[in-house]
Amino acid sequence: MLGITDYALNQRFTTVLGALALAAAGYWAWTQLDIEAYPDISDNEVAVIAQAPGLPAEEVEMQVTLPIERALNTVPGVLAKRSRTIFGLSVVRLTFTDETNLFWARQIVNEKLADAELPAGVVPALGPMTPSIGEIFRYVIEAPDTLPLTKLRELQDYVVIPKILQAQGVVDVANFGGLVKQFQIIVDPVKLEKYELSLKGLADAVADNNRNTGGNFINVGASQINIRGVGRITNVNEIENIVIDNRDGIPLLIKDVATVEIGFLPPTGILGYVDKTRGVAVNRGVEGIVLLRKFDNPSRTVENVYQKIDELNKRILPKGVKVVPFYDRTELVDLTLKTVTTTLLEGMTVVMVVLTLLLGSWRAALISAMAIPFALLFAFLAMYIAGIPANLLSLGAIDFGIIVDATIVMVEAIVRAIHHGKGENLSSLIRSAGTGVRKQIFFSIVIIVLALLPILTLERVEGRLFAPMAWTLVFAIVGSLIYSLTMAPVLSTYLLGANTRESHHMFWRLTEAGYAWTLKTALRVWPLSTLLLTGGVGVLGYVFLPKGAEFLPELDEGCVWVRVFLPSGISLAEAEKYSELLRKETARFDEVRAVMTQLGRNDDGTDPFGPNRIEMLVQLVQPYSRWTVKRTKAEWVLVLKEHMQRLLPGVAFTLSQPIIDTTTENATGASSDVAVFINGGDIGELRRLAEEILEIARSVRGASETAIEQEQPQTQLAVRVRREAAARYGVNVADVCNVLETAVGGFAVSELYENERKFEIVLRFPPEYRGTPESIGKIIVLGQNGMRVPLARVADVQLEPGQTIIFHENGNRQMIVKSNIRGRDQSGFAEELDRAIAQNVVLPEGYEYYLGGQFENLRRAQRRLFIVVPATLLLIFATLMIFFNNNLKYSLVVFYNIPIAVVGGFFGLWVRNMNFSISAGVGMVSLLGLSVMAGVLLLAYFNQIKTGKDDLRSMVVEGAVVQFRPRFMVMSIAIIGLLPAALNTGVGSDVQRPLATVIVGGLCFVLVFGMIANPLFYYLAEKRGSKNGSPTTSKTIAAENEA
Amino acid sequence: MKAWKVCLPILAVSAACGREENAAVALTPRPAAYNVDKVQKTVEFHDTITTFVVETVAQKDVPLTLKAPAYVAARVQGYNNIARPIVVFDEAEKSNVLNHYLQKLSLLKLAEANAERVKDLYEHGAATGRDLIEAAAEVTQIQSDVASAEMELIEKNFNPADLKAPKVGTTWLLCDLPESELNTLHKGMTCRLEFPGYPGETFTGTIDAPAAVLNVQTRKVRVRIVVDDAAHRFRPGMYATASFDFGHTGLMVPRGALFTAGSKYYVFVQSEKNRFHAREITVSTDAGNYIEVHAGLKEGENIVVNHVYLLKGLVFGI
Repeated sequence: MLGITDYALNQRFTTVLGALALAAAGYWAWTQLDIEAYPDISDNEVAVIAQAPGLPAEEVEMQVTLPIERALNTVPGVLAKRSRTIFGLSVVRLTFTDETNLFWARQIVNEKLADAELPAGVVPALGPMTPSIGEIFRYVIEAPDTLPLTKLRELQDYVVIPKILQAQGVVDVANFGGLVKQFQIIVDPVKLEKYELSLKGLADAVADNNRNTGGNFINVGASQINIRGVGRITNVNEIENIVIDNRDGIPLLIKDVATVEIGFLPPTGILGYVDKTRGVAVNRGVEGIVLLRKFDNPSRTVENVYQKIDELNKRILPKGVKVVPFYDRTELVDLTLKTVTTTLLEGMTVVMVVLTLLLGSWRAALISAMAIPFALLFAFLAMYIAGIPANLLSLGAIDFGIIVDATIVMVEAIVRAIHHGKGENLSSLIRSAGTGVRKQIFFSIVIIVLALLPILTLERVEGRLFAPMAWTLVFAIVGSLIYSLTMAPVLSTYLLGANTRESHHMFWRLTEAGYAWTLKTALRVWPLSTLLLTGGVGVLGYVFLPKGAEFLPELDEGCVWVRVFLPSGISLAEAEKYSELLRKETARFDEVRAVMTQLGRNDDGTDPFGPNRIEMLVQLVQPYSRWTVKRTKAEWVLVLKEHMQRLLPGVAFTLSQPIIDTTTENATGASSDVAVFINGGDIGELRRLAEEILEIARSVRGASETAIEQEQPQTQLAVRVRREAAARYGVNVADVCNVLETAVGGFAVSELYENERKFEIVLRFPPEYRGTPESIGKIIVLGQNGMRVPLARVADVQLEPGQTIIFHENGNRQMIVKSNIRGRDQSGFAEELDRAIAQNVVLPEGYEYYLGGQFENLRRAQRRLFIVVPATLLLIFATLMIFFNNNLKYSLVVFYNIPIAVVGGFFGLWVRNMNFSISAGVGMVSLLGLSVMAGVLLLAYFNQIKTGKDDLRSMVVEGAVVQFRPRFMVMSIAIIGLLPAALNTGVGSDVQRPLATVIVGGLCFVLVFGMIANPLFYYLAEKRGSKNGSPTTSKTIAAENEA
Repeated sequence: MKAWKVCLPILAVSAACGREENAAVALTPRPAAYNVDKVQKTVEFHDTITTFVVETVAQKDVPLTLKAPAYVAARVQGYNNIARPIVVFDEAEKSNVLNHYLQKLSLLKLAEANAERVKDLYEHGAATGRDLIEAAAEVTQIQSDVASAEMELIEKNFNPADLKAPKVGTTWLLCDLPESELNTLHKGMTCRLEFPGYPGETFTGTIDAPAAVLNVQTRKVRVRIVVDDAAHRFRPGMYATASFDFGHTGLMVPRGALFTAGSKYYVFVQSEKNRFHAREITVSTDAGNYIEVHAGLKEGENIVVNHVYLLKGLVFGI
C-alpha cells in the first residue's frame, strides 16, 4: 500500500486517468443511490391481525390471542412477542433479530398460524410488510358537500386505493374514516311477533334468495350454450320482495315485516382535519394512509404515488372529487436535505477558504480541497457497491476537515520540502516528502477507521441509525487516503512549482512564536506542566463529566404527533366533540399550518384503539424562523400541551413525533421516553401495581405526560344465559347469540354486488328496540318448541366491568406506566425512578417489572459500547505499537491525546448544555482516531530528526515548531469543517449536532493541550531513557545495553 | 490579518451558542388547576377554561310512547234482515264460544221461567216438592254452564256483558303489552292505531279492560281495545300497531349527565360552585332524552350535564 505513492509518481498520467474514472463512477453511483431522510430504524417485525367482531376483550384474549401466541411459540429468531387485545380485535406482533430474513419470518409465521385453533369466522392475517416508518404519505379525498360520506368511501375503496396500490413501492393503503354503505333490513319486532317469525328465519330467507349459479352447458345444434342461474339481489326493491313464508297461499315478504334502506356500518373511526393553507376544515372525512414496502425507497415511492394521484384527479375521479395530499414524507426529506446541503456547502466553503489562508498558496489549497469531492465520490461508489443507502444523517455527519486532513499533511510536507529544498529537483523533493509522511498518514487513517468500528457493532435502532454513517465515513476516509497518497503528490508535480514557498503570514509567525515560547516554558517547568496536563485534565474531566444521558436527541420531524387518551367507555359521538375541539384549538396557533385528528381506529385493525383514543398530527409552519412568536419548537410544544390540559382536564396527552413514536413503540412496547413494564397474571393486581408506580413516577423530577398506557376497564352489557331457565323454554345459547348478533349487532347475513362493488346486507332492529339494556331484555327469543320468550327471561342482562385493552408480552399479561421526560436526561430520570420503585413497591410472587421505552435503547447501546470501546482502544494502542516498532513510551505519549480529547468532548457538551447521547457517543468514538493523528505526526517527525541531535530539549522544541503548522491545520480544519453541523438547528440537524459538538470540543482540547502534552511527554520519556540529555536513539540503546 | 477576520467570527459564533440546548424551559409555574380526591370521588377546580353546565334535578313529566302489535279480534255488524247484531270473530272457535254462551243464556232463561212455573204450581199444590227441587237444580246447572261459558269468553279476552247486547259498529282489538307497563295502563286510556291496510291514517282506540291473566311465557298482558267502526272499515284478523302515549313523572336527568364506571351508573353532583362529586345512582325508565333516576339523587340537587367524561377521567382515571 505504501508503495502506491511511488507508483503514482511514476505513472502520473495513469493515476490521473484512474482518479477521473473513479470520480465518474462515483458520480454515476450518486445518481443511482437511494436517498432517505432517515434510515429505516425499525426491527424486522411480523404482525398477525385477527378480527373477532362483537367479542369483548376478555373473550378475544382467551379465544384468539392466546391460541395465536401459543401457535407462534416455536417460531425461531424472535426477540419479543407482544400482543394488544381490544373489543373485536387481536394484534400479535413478533420482533425478530437483525439476522432474520423477513420474508422467511413471514413464511414461518404463516405456516404456524395454521396450528392455531380459533373460533369459526376468525381468520388471522399477516399485517403488511411495512417498516415502522412506513406511513410515508397521507391523503384526503375531498368532494362537494352534496356527496355523501358513503359515496366518498366507496370511491376510496374501489377507485382510489386500487389505483394507488399500483404505485411501485406501496405495500398497502389503510383507510381511515368515511362510512361503509350497507343495505339494512330494519325489522319491526312488533310485526315479527305479529307474524310469529324469527330473525333467523328472516336471515335464512335473505341468504337463500341471493345466489347465482352455473348449470354447465347444453348443446343446441352445433352450438354450446352455457347455463347461468341468476338469482342475486341487485337492489333494495329485490330485497323487499324476498319471500319469508307462505301463509295459506299468500306470500309473506320482507317488506311486510321490515323496511329496507341504504344505511351505513356504524363507524369505528372518524377523521377530521383543518388545513389552514387552503382554508379547509372538515369534520368527517376520508383519509388514505400509504404504507411503504419494507426495503423500498420512500422518496421514489412517494413520487410514484403522486403520479397515480395525478391520474386519478385528471382522468378517473368524478368532477369535483379530488385526492389531496396531506402529509408527505418527502417534505421532511427536502427539509433535511436542505439542512444537510447547507451544512455540507458551508463546511466545504469554510474549509477551502481556511485552507487557502493557512497554506498561503491557492494551488496547494486547491490540491488539498480536491480531496473532498474525490473522497465523497469514492464513498458514493463504495456505498452503491455495498448496497448502503445514502441517508441524510450519514451525509450530514461527514466532516470535510477530516477528509482533507491526510492531504493537508501530504501537501504541507511537500510545500515545506520545496521551500527548504532550493535548487533540488522538484520531482525528487515531492517524492521524498511524500514517502516521508506516507507511513504516518497511512497509520493515522487506519487508526481513524479502527476507531469507527464500535459504531458498526451497535444493534437495532442505534445500529441502523449510525452504521450507515460510519460506513460513509470509512469509505470517505479511505478515499481521502487514496487521494492523499496518489493524486495529491501527482497534482503537486503539475501545479506546484520550484518557487512554491511556505506561508510566512503574520498569523503563522505569531502562532509559531507563541507556541515555541509556551513549549519552552512548559519544558522548563516540566513538573508543573506535567501536573497541569495530567491532574488538570483529570479535574476538568470530572467537572465536565456529563451528569445525564439520553438515547438520542429529539429528532425534529417538522411536526408533532399527539396521542390523546379520553376516559374509557366514552362513545364515539361524545368523543367526536373533543376531537373537533382539539383541532380548532390547535389550529388557532400561528405556528400550525394543518391539523388532522384520527378518532378511534381504522378499518384494517392495525391500530387497536377504541373510541376513547385520538391521534392528532400537527403540521408546523416551516421554516421555524417564520414563526411570529420567537420560541423553539420544544417551547411551543410545552405551551400546546399546557393549553390542551387546561382545555380538557381529565384527559391524558402524549406529545411526540410520528416516526420516533411508532418506531419506539414497536421496538420496545411503549412510545414514551421511559416506560415501566409490569408483568404478571392477574389484571386487577397489575393495575393496582401500576397505579402505585404511577404515583411514584409522577413525583420524579422531569416527569411529563405520565400515565398508565392501558385505559381503565369499561362498562359492558353482559347477556349471561341462565341455562336452566333457557332449557325450560327450549332456548339454546345459540338462539340467544343469534339474536344478539343480528338484532343488536347488525351482522351481515348476505351481500349485494353493484358491479364489482360488494356491500353487506344486514338485519337489525330499530334503535329504540336495542338501544338500552331494558329494550334488549325485551327482545323475543324463539325457542325450539316455538315458544316466544323475552330475552330477560332466559338471560341476565346487566352492566359489568370489562377490560378495554389487554397487553401481553412473551405470554405474560402486562401493564405499562409510561412517562416522557422534559428538562432533564433520560438516564438520570430512569435511575431515580428505578430506585424509587425498588424502595417503595413490594411485588407479589410471580410479578416483575423492568424499565424500557427509549431508555431501553440507551441501556442496550451503552452496554455494547462499554464492551466495544475498550476493545477498540486496545486495537488503537496495538496499532500505535506497530507504528512505533513496539515502543511503549511513544505509544503512550500519543495515546494520551485520547483522554484529552474525551475531556474536550465533555467540555463541548457542557458548553452547549447537552446530555450525553448515543449520538454524542458516536462522536466520541470518531474522535479517538482523530485525536491520535496529531501525536503520530509529531512523534514520527521527532524520530526522523533526532539522529545526530545532542540537545533533547532543543530538538523537541524545534521539531514541535516545525510540525506545529501541519498539526494545527489538521485539527483546525477538522474543527472548522464541523462547525456548521455543530451550529445548525434546522430540521434534520439533531443527530449531527451533538456528534459534531463532541468532535469540535475534543479537537479543541487536543489543539490546546495536546500540542503541549505530546512534546512534553516525549521529552520526559526520552529524558528518562537518556543519561546525558541527548535523544535516545537505537544506537544509544544498543550501546547502553552492551555496557 | 485576513485569517483573523475569518477566525474571529467563528469564535464569536461558537461562544454565542453556549448552553442553549436542553435548558429547562422557564415557564412560570402555574398553580394546580384542580384537586382530586379519588377516595371521595370529588374534584375541585381552581382554574379551568372548560365550562361545566349544571342542571337542577326535578320531577319531570316526560312523554313516553309504548308500541305494541294488535289485531282485530271481533267486530259487531248488523244485517238488514237480521234483528240482532252479529259479532264476527277472527277465529271460528271464538264464535263457537259465544254461541255456546248465548245458548246457555237462553237455556238459563228457559230454566228460570220453568222454575218459576213449577214454584207456582207447587204453591198451588199442582207440583210436587221433587218437581220444585228438580227445576231449581236445572237452573243451578245451567247457571254453572253460563258461568263456564262466560269464563271461556273472558279467557278469550271478551266481556260477556258487551257481547250479550253488542252495539253495531263496535270493533275490538287485542294487544299484548309487557307486564312492566301494567301500572301505566288503565281502562279508558286511549291509544293510536295504525293499520297497514290504511297507510297514513291513524285511528283512536280506548282500553276496554286488561286481561285477568298474565302469559307466563311471554310475561305479557293482553288488553282489549275498543274502537268505533261505524264505517265498517275493519275486518277481524287485520293487524295494527297500537301506540300508547302516556306521561311519566319521575326524577329525570338528561341522558348526557349519565356515565358508567365498572358496572354502575353515576352522575356528578355539584356541591359548591366548582366542586363536583361522583354519585352512584340507579336508573329505571328510559325516556329518550331523559332517564329516570330511581335512587341516589334528590330533587333540587344540581348535576353536571356536559363534559362528564372529563370529570370521570379526573376522578376515576383514564
